[in-house]
Amino acid sequence: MLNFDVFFENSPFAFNQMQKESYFFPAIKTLHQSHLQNCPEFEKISSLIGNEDLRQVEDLPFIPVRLFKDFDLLSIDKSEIRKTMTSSGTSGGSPSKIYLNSETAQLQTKVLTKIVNSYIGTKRLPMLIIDSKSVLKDRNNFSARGAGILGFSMFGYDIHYALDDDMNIDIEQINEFLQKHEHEQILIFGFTFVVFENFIKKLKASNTKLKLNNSLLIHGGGWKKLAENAIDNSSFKALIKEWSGISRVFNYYGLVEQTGSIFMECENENLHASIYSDIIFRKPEDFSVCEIGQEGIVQLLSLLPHSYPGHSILTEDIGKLVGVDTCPCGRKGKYFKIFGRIKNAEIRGCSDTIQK
Amino acid sequence: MTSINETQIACMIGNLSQLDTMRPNKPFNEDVILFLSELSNALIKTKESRNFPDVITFAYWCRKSNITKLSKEYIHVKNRIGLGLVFHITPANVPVNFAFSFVFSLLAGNSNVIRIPSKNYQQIDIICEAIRQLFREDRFKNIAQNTLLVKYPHSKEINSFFSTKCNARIVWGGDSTINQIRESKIPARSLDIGFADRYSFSIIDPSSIKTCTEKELIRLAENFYNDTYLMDQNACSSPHLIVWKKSDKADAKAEKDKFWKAVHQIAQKKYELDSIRVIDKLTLLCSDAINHPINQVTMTSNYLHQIKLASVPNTIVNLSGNSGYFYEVDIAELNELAPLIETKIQTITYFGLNKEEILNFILNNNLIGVDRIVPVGKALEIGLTWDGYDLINTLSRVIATE
Repeated sequence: MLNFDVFFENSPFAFNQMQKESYFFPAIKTLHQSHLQNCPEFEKISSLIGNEDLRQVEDLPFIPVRLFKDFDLLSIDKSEIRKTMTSSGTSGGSPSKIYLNSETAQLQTKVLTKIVNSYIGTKRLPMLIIDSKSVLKDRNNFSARGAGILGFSMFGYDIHYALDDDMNIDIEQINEFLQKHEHEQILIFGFTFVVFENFIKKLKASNTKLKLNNSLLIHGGGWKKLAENAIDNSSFKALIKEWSGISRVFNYYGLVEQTGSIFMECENENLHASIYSDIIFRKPEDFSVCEIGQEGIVQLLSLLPHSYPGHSILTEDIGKLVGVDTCPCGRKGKYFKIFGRIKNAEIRGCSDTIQK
Repeated sequence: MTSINETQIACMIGNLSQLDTMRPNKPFNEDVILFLSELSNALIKTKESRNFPDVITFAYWCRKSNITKLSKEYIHVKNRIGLGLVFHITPANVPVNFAFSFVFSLLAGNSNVIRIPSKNYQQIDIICEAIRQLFREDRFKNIAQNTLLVKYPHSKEINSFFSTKCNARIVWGGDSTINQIRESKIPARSLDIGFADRYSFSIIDPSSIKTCTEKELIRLAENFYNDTYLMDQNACSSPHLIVWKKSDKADAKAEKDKFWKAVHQIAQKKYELDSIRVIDKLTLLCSDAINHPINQVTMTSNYLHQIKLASVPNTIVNLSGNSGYFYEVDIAELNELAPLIETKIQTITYFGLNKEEILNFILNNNLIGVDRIVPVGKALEIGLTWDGYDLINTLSRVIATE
């Protein structure tokens, strides 16, 4: 299996792209080959659409995320499954099922820690989660939201949930918590649309301003619901600042298919690829690689999926590469923007007349 | 009598009070031919029609010369009259289909209630407006009184309301819709026609491509494009599978490449390839790699996927792609296809073969599928004979006299 030492001895954003690729490419190629050997479905796909000759990261085949809905894709024996993660994700229907063995689950935790620590430091912080505890009911069968909450919980102590079982904001509980940790930095975590719908909007509706000036907020999970409300990253940040007082806000981008190796936003509102993952933007017409600044379909690569062939996936998101190694924040490697889901254009043809 | 909430029904043309006075007429009666001719002229003159080739196609179909020509095939119908009231349920995403369904039934001599899609299409607005204008004229009063176009949200009660009154019901739109509509009963003597999910494929002789001139090749590729990409390759008569019929053992690679290259060029130029379709195609390709024995896949670009099957499969109706995703298989004899022909198969388009050869293959093998055999380029041409029904004769009754 892979030797991960070099990846853990260094900061997640320490390598410039060339250095990174000299480690990343051999590592992901080894991972790719192990999936070929251990996942018969992946082997069939790869033999049909893959390249014989893998010379660079761009040469690896990628599978669409929807495939995890239609098939149980495993590179381990079923008896080794420790956790199953599900996501309703794209366009409804049956959920994606991601099967983790203990090795993959541990890697996810370890890498998430490395990335998040590089933002918030290694000290645990008092933590407020903008969600309801009920999301975590079934500990063996995680929704993407549950997995996210559980994953980020390891960065906090004295963890409190800001919403009750019915997703209503619990102002009393929040105030009590704030009093207790008055002079400490507080870590706040939540899913983007929950923070918006159930926290910020409710604070606004009840005309309550919180004083969380000393806190930092990490949020992720997609902008679809906010886009419907015409809220972009900057206006979201302004609303958060106005109603909760939080000025340090970090968005992250990640898919349940690649839990752990998330992409985090920097102070300049750019998302960054760490040394554990990579991102490629592809042109819809032929999947060739986009130029810097050109919008394309997002392909994600990660060194973490060992128990299932999710190391190179094609998402249903659109984004663009902003630059490489040159973000003013100082983090090396690729930095980019995500614009959200591809729109679901209706297909023509003699389809159903049933209209809802 | 079923009770319904009439406020849920939006009458686009006509009103519900007409329902009880509707009457049938003789097939191809002169009023109808004149009405269609005027409708054709009106649509061709309307500026907005020019943006919609499907409206223009419909307008041309309705013109007097075409209808007169068609009527000649029914010259013997002197003792026929329409069945009565025909209730049409038309598909949500083929905008002009409602108009063809209406006109076929009108020509057979029927009065009509047509449920049109709730979704707004400009094509529907253009055609309805033209009909509305003509119905204001006294000479079309009779047709107007026998025509009702409605929109309503999905409702079993309203389906039942119209169903109990109809002498025939026509449902377009696939198996699940048909099953759902059939929960509403029709009177015992009434006729139920379901245009169900179908599957279509092409048979091409590669040697005929070898002898094509550049011009003929482009014509062929354009025809093929119109049969497929024009409707996202999702019409029931769009082919999903290309059967290459070769009399010799050569693999005909050069001829096939020549054909696909021409198709690709046109698709690249004309087809609007949505990103979501690109992902749909890759997802299908990965599923196919897992589920089917595939020899090779060629992706010239994401505009065109060619999936070469290792051998003639046991069944073909599940081999169905959209937006330029084609399966290919080689055969030496048409008879190799016989086990694959099931009732679901509708259209065979052909190039380089003659239609008698394919017709005889169906007849001599006693097959239960294939309702149309048409040249490449005519897959989407709808007509009075559709899905195996002669619609004039099906939608009218014969009065026996001695």
